[in-house]
Amino acid sequence: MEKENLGFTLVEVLISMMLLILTTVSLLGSLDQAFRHYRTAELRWRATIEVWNQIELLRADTPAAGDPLLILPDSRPLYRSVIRDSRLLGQSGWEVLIADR
Amino acid sequence: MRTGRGFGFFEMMVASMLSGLIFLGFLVVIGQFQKGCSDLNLILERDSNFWLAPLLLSRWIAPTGNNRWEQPWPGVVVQPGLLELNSEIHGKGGFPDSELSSSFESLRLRASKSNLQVKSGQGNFQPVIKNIASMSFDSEQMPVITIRLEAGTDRSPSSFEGNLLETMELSILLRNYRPSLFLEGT
Repeated sequence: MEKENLGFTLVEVLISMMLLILTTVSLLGSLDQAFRHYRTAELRWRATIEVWNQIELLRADTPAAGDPLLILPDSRPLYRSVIRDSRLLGQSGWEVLIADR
Repeated sequence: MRTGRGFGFFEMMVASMLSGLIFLGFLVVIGQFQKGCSDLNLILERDSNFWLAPLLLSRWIAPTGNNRWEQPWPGVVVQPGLLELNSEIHGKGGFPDSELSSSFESLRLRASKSNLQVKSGQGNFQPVIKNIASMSFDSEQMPVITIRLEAGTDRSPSSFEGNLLETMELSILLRNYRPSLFLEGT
């Protein structure tokens, strides 16, 4: 009588384990990427708030600070400042124009 | 000759015990995963509400705090935990009508019951942003008003240590325009 073959062979078990490990590693990698993106978004949000606060304080300062710009002759000069933050990736900076009062 | 069909008692006991252990382990792992997801959801909810706050505050406060020059009402009133702003922005014909009757001409902001609440005109305080634990205002640098916000989760996440409070300071410049918008006061 031929012996009935029950269970899995070694190769089948190894392939299943390999697929399981690959799936788990892929899921963990995706999770890691998601957390990294979230952290970047949080840093950029904080940097935006800080730049915003700097701009509001700059605009409130009297006399106005920055490089003077004369758009029209005999007009009130505008003052130009550029605020940059290394955390705001891909942005050349925030340009602030303030009129002299 | 006796043929061995099925499993013996000992085999059944071992198989049941192993199945039970595997099932229990599965439940424990799923439970932990579910708890982690729930805690993560609390933090994401807190952050999404908190990140929205500066956008809405700057949108509401800046126009309402600007036009207060020689008005019969106080323009900006700072009390502990409460900010009151009054400004004549527009009337029925599109021009100022000397009344604080339009929406967002009279604004009060406070944090209560973990909500940022807003009162516009004669209405009641309405919750607009969740997870705002406290809110304070500083007018020492007027015309710049500084708002300090503290945000927390709805409940303490069991997977994390500490209270997980987030803080933020937002400055908003409140110019002091005359109603005509031509000359500016101090």
